[in-house]
Amino acid sequence: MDWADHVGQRLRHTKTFWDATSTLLDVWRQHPSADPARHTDDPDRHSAWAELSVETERLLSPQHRPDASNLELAIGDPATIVELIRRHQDSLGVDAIDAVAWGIDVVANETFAPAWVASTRGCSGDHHTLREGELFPVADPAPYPQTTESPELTPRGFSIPEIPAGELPNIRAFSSRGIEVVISFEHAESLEAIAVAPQPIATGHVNASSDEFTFPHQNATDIFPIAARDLAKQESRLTAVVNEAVARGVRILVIPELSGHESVVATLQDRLDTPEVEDLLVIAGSHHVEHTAVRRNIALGLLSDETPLEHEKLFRFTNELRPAIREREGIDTPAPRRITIHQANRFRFAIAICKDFLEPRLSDTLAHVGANVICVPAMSPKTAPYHARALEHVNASQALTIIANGPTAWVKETTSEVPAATSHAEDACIIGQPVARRMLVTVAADAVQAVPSLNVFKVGDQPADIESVIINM
Amino acid sequence: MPETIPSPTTQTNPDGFADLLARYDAAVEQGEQEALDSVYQHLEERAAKAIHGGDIPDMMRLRSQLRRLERRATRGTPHAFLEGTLITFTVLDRMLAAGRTAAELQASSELRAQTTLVLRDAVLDELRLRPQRPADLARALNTGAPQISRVIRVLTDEGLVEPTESPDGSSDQRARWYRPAA
Repeated sequence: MDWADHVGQRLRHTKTFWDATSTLLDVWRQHPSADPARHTDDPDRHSAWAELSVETERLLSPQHRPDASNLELAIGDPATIVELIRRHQDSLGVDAIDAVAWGIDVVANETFAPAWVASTRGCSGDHHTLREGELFPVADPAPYPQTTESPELTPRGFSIPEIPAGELPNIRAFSSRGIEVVISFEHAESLEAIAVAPQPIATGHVNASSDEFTFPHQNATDIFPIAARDLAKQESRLTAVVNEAVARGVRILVIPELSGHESVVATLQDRLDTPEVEDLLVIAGSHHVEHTAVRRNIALGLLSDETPLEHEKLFRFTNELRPAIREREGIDTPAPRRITIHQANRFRFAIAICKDFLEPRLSDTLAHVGANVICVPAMSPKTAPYHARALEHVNASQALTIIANGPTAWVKETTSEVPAATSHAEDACIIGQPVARRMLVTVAADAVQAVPSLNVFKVGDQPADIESVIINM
Repeated sequence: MPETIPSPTTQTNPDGFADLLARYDAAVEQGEQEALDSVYQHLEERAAKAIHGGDIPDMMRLRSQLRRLERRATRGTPHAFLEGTLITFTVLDRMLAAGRTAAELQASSELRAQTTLVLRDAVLDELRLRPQRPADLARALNTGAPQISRVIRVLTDEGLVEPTESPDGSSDQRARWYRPAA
């Protein structure tokens, strides 16, 4: 086949670097090479592929073009792409297309997300469900401003798994792990402002003991709804934690699972809507709620003057490791299981509640779609598995993961998972961050001396210290 | 007894956005076009400064602020007189988005140039040992073939490196060997 002619026809209506690159990738995926030049053991063929990609970089860099059109191809660019492929298709075959696509990915990947968002938003509105095989951009979370307060990001090439043939460093093809993925553009501007600034993040702790919660059994196995006993006190403490976060310029505040309540959300939202609050995302714990006989565990992400981000817990707590005493969280499993990724240019926010984060299907999905800011409200007496998952996401997507776990002590048999009359405390705060040598930072639960309190952490700060702040009530 | 909620001890908004928001709310409430224009002018000046300086966090902060102003203005029944102001916000937002992308392109281009600079001497040192192919250099320097090709292109343009025959005399047209320029 004359690949150059074929590509020339397909590029006729492309306008942006994103359109052109995804079209090239699409052509390659329809006619894949048996031995892709980018992975071949033949050093000379691989070098020829690399040289073509670098030649493409040189000819198609959008860097010096006028600001207003930096997403778009220049008039002669499609012809240049065709000519590059024509000159190398005899030696590289269809892999000439792959090499050119790779070169554009290197020099123009920064334009992919804005162009993809603009075109997808134009067709689907603020929410878009990824389809099997659909190409989507996954840019690095960089660039953070290079200051002493910002992350020392590891070079992406050394931190991620090999890019599969048919994908690019910044473009993936969606493949479902049994979980539907919805991309939301609704909060893009607010979330990008929060993510791009190297500012403090925090976990907020409002409950010292599992005694402060009720764990009602609906039947022999199901526990629902778990909630704080004293809602007035809970509201006061949550408000105090948010106030302190505002005062300290915190950008992302995560509060543990089930320490929120439906009735408290409006109070917190009112606080966030006041003029002095800006660029703050509050993951307001989560809460059990029952509507029309459906029981759910919902976490809301509150932003100033915005509708909240919402995540429904996908995988309920069960004590499958101790089958003699069957207990489980009495929520209904959503069908289909669905995760919303909140796209904010190169940042992709996700919320996962407690066991969601440990579940391989969801964890794989988050890594695959390049979630790079992951907020996890948790309520667990066992936190070691969270460490491994947070590190996996640093490796997969240079993700910042913020896990807030509470209550800070489990003092009696509230569920069968925690033996009676023991004080069991692991971590209250776990941060995974893309910073060499200090990718995981934690605060033990028994180090939280009082509630309400905050654990405040500056991403990328060296040394990586967490400041514990006790709030006097 | 409910516990007492302490008030925040310090204020955020170092750029005075809280005051701007209050002015804006009042202008919307009272339908004062001049006050709205002055808010817009303030934002436009800040946007120009951020775009000119390539300040990505500030550009993103401004976009977030514009969205917030827009949402506050359109809560409840939208005021007809705001239509023009909201259009100017949209235009400013597009300028900031384009400025952000331009700054990101610039930053990553500089990063690639730095990486090339770091590898440059290492590639020259390797080639002084013996003629090599890009794939050999990539393996020796533990990096990717595209990075090596980028460096070789720069060194070739500078006249420091040149293509040469295969040391074993093989005539594979695809194989490219390089050595320091004579």
